[in-house]
Amino acid sequence: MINIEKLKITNIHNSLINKEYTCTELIQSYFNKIKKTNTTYNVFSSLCEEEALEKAKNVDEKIDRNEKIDLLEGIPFSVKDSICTIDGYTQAGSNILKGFKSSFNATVVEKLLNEGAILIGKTNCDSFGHGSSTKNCDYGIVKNPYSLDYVAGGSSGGAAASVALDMCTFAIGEDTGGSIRQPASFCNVYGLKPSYGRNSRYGAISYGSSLDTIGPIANNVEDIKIIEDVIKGVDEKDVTTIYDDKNKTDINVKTIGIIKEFINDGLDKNIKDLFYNRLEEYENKGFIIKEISMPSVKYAIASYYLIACSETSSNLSRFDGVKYGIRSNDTKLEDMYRNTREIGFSFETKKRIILGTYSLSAGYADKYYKKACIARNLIKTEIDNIFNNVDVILAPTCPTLPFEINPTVALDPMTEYLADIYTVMPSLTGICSLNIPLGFINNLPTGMQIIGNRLEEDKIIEFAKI
Amino acid sequence: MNKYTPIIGLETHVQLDTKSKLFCSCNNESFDAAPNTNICPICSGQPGTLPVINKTAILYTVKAGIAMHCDINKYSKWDRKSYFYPDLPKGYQISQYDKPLCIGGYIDILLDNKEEKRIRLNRIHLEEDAGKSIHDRSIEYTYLDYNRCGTPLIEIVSEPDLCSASEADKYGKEIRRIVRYLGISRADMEKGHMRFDINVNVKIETDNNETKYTPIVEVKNLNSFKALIKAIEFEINRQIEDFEKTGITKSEKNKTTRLWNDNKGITSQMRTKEEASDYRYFPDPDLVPIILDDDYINNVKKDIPELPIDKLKKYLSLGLENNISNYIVDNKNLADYLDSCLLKIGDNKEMQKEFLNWFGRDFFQLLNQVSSNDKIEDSSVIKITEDDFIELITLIVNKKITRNLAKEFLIDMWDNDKKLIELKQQIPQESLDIDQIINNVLENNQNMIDQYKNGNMKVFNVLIGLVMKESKGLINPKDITNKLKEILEK
Repeated sequence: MINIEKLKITNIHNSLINKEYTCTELIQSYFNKIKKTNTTYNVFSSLCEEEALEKAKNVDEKIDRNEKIDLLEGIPFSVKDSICTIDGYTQAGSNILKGFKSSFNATVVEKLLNEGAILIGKTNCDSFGHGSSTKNCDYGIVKNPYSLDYVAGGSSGGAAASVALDMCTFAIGEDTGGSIRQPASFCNVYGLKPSYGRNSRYGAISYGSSLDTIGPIANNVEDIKIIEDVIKGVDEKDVTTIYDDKNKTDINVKTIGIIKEFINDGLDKNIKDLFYNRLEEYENKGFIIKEISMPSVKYAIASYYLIACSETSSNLSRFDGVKYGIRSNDTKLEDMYRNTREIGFSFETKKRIILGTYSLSAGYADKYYKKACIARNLIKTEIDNIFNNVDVILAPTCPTLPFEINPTVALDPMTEYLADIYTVMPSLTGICSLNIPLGFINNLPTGMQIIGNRLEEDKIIEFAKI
Repeated sequence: MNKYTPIIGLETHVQLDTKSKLFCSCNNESFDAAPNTNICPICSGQPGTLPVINKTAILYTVKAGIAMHCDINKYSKWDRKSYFYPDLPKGYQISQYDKPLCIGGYIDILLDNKEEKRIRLNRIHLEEDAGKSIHDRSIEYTYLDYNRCGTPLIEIVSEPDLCSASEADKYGKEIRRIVRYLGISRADMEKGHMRFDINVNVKIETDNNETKYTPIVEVKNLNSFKALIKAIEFEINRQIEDFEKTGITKSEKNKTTRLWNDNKGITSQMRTKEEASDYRYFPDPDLVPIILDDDYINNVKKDIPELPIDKLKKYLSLGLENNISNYIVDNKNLADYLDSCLLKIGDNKEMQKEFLNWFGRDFFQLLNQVSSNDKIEDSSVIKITEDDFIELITLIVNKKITRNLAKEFLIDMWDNDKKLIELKQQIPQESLDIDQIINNVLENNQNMIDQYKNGNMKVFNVLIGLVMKESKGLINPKDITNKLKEILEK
């Protein structure tokens, strides 16, 4: 049996072409790991074992014929349940899509499959991305790879855990307000939220369309770079994708910005210490650390939740029991709508739909949705100014350690929403942010964000290698 | 006596005849397609799909806007209009709310008294059509056909400038003509390419100089001109009766929506629950705004053909009858044919007059044989080439051929696909000597000349008849009259 612990893409590739092991053995090893651990951690919602092994066989035959194979050929990956794939189910962590199979692959998935990567399964997430703990997943909570009493984070909790638990080499997640970065930090892995529009959203079941991004999760930053280079780019199926014209800009970093407003009482003291230790290391390496002020960031949480909920209330209208997914037995149309959505949606999803519907309603839109958009523009303007003065921004990913699954004192919803404070700012402004591991506190991992300006993925990825 | 003036505004939905749908690459023509065979993940609202704009639909909307004298917004955007209905797959319709492609504008119509009336437009916006709910196939179930989902639709919103069902009918037909001229819609009512929503109320001027208004009523989804006229007439009468009974006048809160029942010929109140709607418009984050520049707009302007109302006025001024002029304008193929002939004829007034006589009379008789309906589907029904028609007229004007023979030729060309070059062989070679014939007749009827000179004018007509008979009808009676007069007055 192969040791699949923390395998890197280039290492696997070399082992395959050097015939140290076959692709079938590789895939089989990952499935063995999945079978051993999935019932405990609840990472996968569906698996594509047969299809994966069939593809592995093809790769092996190619290698046997001494044909050249691409770097990603035979590399196993998982995809978040809210991203469409032909193989496996696409249930978005929600009852309402129980048993749903998509008729197409998301563009990023299609790109990876074209490179020969092998899809092995779909990972659990908060239903429709609504949550940061997978407690709102209708298929169960994903447990933290470092401690079963804690959550893996969310909403891409299964994706982050699948990498941390060596159930696959890399994962594709989706991030609307922190859904890649926060679980990556809870699971001690790397996770990239790309700039809005850099990677196609086609095939991602929309949560908040103006915020949604698809990105990679991996054990190391080199793998992040390899995957992102494959999945990025303009897609004719997504008109919000943008041309990456910053490729040739300077990727050197001299100044690091720290947002003053982020360092407050809400930040766990131990995380704060780890964060400042890391800053000191950078300073010792010759980087200039600048404290910057971002007064508008106090509107970020409110603005984010209003916009995301408004958009989600509209995006989820299509789940009405008429065309796909589950349908209640009612014979009256209105009853059917009401009960299908009552049974189909999680509590948190319903809460967000109601909040968003209210925020968009006649007479309230000016007060809520439109005001949130104004705040968002203000935050964007401030971030543009900040990047005139610094090359990257560093920030903790989450102000707290991973949440307990059964806390002695239940978190009130506002506290949970406020925990998104560090991740929603890059989402609202459409810039890129990479979670890298920061260290451990009481055996629980925590992470840090390297935040870069729009389309400056290469810069933050290079910086992460330091 | 109270004076009643109806106030009517129309929202006209016109399906655009693009190759593919508005936001996906599905075929836009589903008329003969089996239900749900012309759909894809995008237009059927599958999870994970995103819309991609069809640029031709934008072009067509801008064309409509320019032809209807609108201002074209250089920045316009897409908004979601939310409501739940099973034939609306996404639970929202992608439409345009506060930044439509076209703003303002007007359409001129010609009233029965030949007066022109200007109907102001509020806006034209582009949106996607919904699917069809089929309720009459089963008592238990409603069937859904999503083929129509995503068909591009423009909504032309008028100001309340119309004052009668007849004006609304003329306005609707003018829109139909314009979109057909622009080639942006086939505008077949029977195929659902055009639908109307109407807003109607009545202005009341009482004897003691008070002005009051009845509550505004919206009637949705009128699918034929007949329904449009009948619904307006019904509403006007109903509102006047209602006002006389109750005295209720318009307020901000009493606008209602009624449904047209085509079988009964009445409108009826919708349940208030069905009516209550908050569409929660907001910008569609899946799409980017539409940015148009001056070059784009100017290029479209260059492509706008002569408008139907201008053609109509031109034909009327040329002396063609009203109904014939309208028929020609309604059939662009025919109008193109006529315009092309007129262009070839040029300034020659005699030719023009002769041609228009033949076109409006004999040619139309032939046309009526093949096309009894209101539309000539393709130009191949016109069997006579422009050049043959003009040459025939030239022969007549130059007196190389008699009108009777010309008519025979025209029929032969139309019915038997004959070409003028073959038919010309039949023209009698010996040219008729009109002087000779008249002299012969006069020589044999000296007594009539005497009677004429004695003041008996009646014999003049008898003489014309005799000359006609002698010439076997091959000479124009007018020429005979002139010649006879010339000789007798000598």
